[in-house]
Amino acid sequence: MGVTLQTGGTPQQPARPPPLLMTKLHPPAGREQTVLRVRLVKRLQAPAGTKLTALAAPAGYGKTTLLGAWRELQAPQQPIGWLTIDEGDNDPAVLWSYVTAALAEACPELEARAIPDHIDAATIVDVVLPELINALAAFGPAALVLDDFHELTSGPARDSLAWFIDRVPSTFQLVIATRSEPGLSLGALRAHGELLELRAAELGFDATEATALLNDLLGLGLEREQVEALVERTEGWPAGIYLAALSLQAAPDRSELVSRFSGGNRHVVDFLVDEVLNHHDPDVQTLMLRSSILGRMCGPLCDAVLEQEGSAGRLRELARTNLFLVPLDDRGEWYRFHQLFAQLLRVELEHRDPGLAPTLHRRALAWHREHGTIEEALGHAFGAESVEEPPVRTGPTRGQADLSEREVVVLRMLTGPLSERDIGRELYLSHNTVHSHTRSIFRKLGASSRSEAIRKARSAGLI
Amino acid sequence: MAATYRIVVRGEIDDRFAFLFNGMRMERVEGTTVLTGTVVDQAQLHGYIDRLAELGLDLIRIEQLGELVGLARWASTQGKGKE
Repeated sequence: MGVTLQTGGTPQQPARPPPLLMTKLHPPAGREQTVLRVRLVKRLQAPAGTKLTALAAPAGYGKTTLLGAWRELQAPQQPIGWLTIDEGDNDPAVLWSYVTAALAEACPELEARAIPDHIDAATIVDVVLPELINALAAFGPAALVLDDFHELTSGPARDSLAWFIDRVPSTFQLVIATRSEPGLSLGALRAHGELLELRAAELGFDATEATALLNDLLGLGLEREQVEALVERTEGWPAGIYLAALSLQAAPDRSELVSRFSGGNRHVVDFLVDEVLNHHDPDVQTLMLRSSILGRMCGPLCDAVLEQEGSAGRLRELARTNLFLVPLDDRGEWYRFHQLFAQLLRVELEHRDPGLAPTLHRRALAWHREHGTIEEALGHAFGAESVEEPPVRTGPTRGQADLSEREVVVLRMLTGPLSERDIGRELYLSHNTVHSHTRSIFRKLGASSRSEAIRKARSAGLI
Repeated sequence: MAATYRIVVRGEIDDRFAFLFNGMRMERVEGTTVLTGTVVDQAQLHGYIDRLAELGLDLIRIEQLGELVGLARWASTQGKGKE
């Protein structure tokens, strides 16, 4: 999943244009508990003539982990740039600035020019991309991973990428990971034998991989039939198998849990969330549930939200044993929950402590105010009012563009480093709701990109 | 346009998940879960589909049962998603 947040605790005054976020240019650090999936790493050694490798599968199929491992193994033979796409990359100038930075980091000798600010899409396709293609042809074997490709919606940025794929030299390999169809006319690439596709069916765990995780790495000592039952029940969905592993680690009677799990009709996540939580000490359970409202977290922030002490140590300990708590830095300071897991925890929080979430948001708001992290403070201001989505009203008029209060909040958050999805998480809104606010803001301001909207709003004194 | 929708997903999920779908009614029928309720507009419907995907739930069917008119439509815009 995309890590697009800067990981310091200092206030961020976004410059114009926004600075490059270096966390976008690296995969999350490799973790001990992951299985090296040899059959898939081999599949990624694409045959000559492959222009595009596409990993297309829903959340929790281990796409990012697989590509991170492949990149590390390949590094001696071939430089591989990494870019985690977010919603901001729908502006072609932003996208290609990041692509150039990612390639420059992997291939320092590549002769690629920096992308000028506020360049239009036509100039990128006419001038910048041909130069980049020539530079790549001169450079030799190289690859680029675009993770979270689904964040690119239809529009000039994705069109420019499609144009690029058509013309890349045969020594270059573009690899994308996406949750939805990438919209890159895969049909034509497939027909020409230029496409390598790995989909959910292939990305799912087979019994060998599940055994490697459950028995070899986690030492659960399951029988072959039990592993097979788990794989069948989860249909190989890696997130489901890992949830099962977490439940089994602390279960007093593993075979009882396996048979109860494989016998029922309840959905994997529904069945397992209780099991996973109940095996932790009560204070760790409280930490997991109550910090699930946070987009990212550190010890002091959790202490403030939980009104207790010792969260930093509990977070560090939890991250050691739970892959769903993702470290955002190598200092063990900032973390975030895997999106799927955070969602499950929020459901459980509302179930166990109905109506507590607004109070937690209020405490997070106070902490962020004190520490100057403005965008996140605003996010919790919304959460503090109500966890439900208030009706969107045409609020009080703010300036001639007539933005509603909520649109102003979204627009202010758009000036920061957060993607629409992150903003949605912060505001407790769906990604689509944030997206429709953004579209409405663009329409009202007559803007076609995030940076243009911010520019116009600033010059109109709206933000 | 506000309308009543029925969404069917594979796997049985507990009522507590209704919280993510503004209190849509949930029934579990032979290994599926049926969500029924008012959807304010297409953006909200797509938001619900995104959430189902985030939870790893497979979608089986979505159907519109009827558009809301008059008082029902007015009520659906008053932000009271819960029944």
